[in-house]
Amino acid sequence: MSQYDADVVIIGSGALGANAAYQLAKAGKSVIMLEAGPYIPRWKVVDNYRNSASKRNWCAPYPNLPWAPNSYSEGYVEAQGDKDFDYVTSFLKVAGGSTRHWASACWRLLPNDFKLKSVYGVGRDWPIAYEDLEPWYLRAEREIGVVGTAEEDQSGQRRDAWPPRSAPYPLPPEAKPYMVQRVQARLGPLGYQVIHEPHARVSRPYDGRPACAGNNNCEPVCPVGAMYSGDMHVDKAVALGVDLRTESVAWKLEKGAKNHIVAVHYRKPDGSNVRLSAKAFVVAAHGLETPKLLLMSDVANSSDQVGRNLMDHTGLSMTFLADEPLWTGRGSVQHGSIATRRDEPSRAQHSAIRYSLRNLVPNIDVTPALLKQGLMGRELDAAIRDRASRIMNISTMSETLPSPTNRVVPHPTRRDAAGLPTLQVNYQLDSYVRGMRPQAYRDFANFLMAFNGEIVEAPTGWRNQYHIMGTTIMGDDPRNSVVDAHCRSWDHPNLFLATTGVMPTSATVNPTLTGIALALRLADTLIQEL
Amino acid sequence: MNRRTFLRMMIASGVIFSVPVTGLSAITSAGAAHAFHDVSVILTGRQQLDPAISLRLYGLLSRQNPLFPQRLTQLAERLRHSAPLSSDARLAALSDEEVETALAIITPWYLGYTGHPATTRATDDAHFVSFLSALMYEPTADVTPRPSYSQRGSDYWQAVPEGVSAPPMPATIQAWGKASPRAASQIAEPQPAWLAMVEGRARTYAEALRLDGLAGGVS
Repeated sequence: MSQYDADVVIIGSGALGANAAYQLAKAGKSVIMLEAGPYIPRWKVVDNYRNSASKRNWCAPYPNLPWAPNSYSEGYVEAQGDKDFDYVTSFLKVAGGSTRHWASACWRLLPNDFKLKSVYGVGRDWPIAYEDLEPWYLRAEREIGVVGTAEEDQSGQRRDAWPPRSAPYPLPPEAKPYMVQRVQARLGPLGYQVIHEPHARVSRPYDGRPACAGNNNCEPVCPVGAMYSGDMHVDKAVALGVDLRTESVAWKLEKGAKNHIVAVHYRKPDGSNVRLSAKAFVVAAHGLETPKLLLMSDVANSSDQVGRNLMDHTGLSMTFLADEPLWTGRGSVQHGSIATRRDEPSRAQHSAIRYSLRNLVPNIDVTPALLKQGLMGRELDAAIRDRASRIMNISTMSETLPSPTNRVVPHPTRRDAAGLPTLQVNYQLDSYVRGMRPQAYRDFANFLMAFNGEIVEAPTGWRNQYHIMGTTIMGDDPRNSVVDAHCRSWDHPNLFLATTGVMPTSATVNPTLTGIALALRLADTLIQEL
Repeated sequence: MNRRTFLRMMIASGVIFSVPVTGLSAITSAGAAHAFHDVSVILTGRQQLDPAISLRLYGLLSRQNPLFPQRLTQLAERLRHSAPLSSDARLAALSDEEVETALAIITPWYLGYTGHPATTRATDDAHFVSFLSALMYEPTADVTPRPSYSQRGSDYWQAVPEGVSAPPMPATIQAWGKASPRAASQIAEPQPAWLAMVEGRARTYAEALRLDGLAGGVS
């Protein structure tokens, strides 16, 4: 009988933790995976969504338990920062994690995104290059079923295919929605190239999943399971024998001899505590809870960087009425992107920008204002149809830089129902991200002109994109980074972090695919070592 | 919204005249919930409202505003008594309070909820009324799905939407990748009027042109 409870304990069952668990289990390792929240099947989330009054609240259909609060729970994330910006983020605490309510954009970073400091003189470099991660990007794309074309310049610089790939995407692109055709037809002559956005809403049956049927409900849940979510790998991992323990809130990593982590302690809803020993530990509790657990445990922080360097894609969003029917809402919630500003020389001065095209069925957004105006009957119906056909939203994914003062800490006084600290965040926007506003305004003005648009909401306010990065930053120097190139804690040889918190640059793309690639790579390291 | 606008809208909409007034005579004798259903039919212009939703919504509105039953009775009475009058006179007879009550009834039938749903908070005062039968989906039902229900299968979204005549586009516009049309090689500086709109200084192009210093904004 082993002296350990498991070979590996993984704390967190989101897409990153579950992918690592699955790989470890496939290699014959014994794995216990802790999840603070419950397991909820897809059908139940869909049912909750249909019966919810708050259909634009993407946490609403998911359980929000007192010992596993999500980020929308009043007071759970106490944020301080700038007067003109409220830090808001959107994470779930359920098996499968926050990919249960994502929209599944699956971009790779660009080679230059890994060397921001050496190419543009700002931010940090990664300790690894794009080429180092490329094989795991491909594996991640195959694991979760990514749809894309390998024929486009995803950096927006009018090259041929970029970044380089060792194999095509596992699935071909979906059809291009009429709205995107029109955006391309009207913005192309102005110099803006519309490209495909890679994503994990499978375009053909794949790995037991049906092809996307365009029900426009990716967020908060894909009703048919065409879109990837972390619970798919939770199920696969459990089928291979991974011991999933839900409603089990990790609250302490215990240090032992030679700086090894010897145990994790978790708490059940009844207040009882359990201690688990293992050869290795993986914390996969996203970019806010992971550093919180490390700080609560006083581990992995010899650099004093744990919880610091918090990044998001804080940016701007414009909603307008076009002069022609575009009919957003046909298909899934996002198709296509404008990457023209993703990797320009101006990255030396200000944030890069990628523009995201929203494709929501907009009735629930346009109707309240029309009712407030007092429209009724046939006139109201005609106005809903007209507005719904012409409304369009374009937002920026803007690059933020790692700053040590942008940080998350365990709240000094507030406690949740399990008696554990809630989160306290300080997050301010620096001149680098604020500096992209003039460029974004010029582009937005061109977009507006192209459609003879009428403003519904001007892009004057800042908003997060709910992408949490930087808080357990990766580097090549133990003095200023938390983990090494293999996501291993500099301080504890058997402690690994599977979170987008390790990313030293935020770039302008949704970070989950990069996180899964890093988690698969981390799992390979563990498989070799255990 | 003020009362004057509401009255103008009601006249313009023609709703109140297009719906037969069956049931109105029964309002006073039937229960309040029954009256609520009849008034809802008149105000929404829909004969086929689901009585079960009607009952639930009446309960929600009554709990939300204890004066609602009384105001509903008042509105129903007004509509009943004014039935023989000319349409303009009938509308003009509505008081501010009756207009408010009418809007309180119409709004959740369209939206499918009462209250104010929060988008980034866990709690709010919103209550579920209906989903598939929320009236806001009816005017677009031929073009877009009620989210989570798709009737058409993969890739339907490529086609020109119902009722749209597509402007001419390059033949390859539907392709992604190499075959897709290439954008122009230069991006021009935007015109000041459009920039002013982006900055939140004007909502429409015409408004922007009236801004100081932007008269020549079309240069």
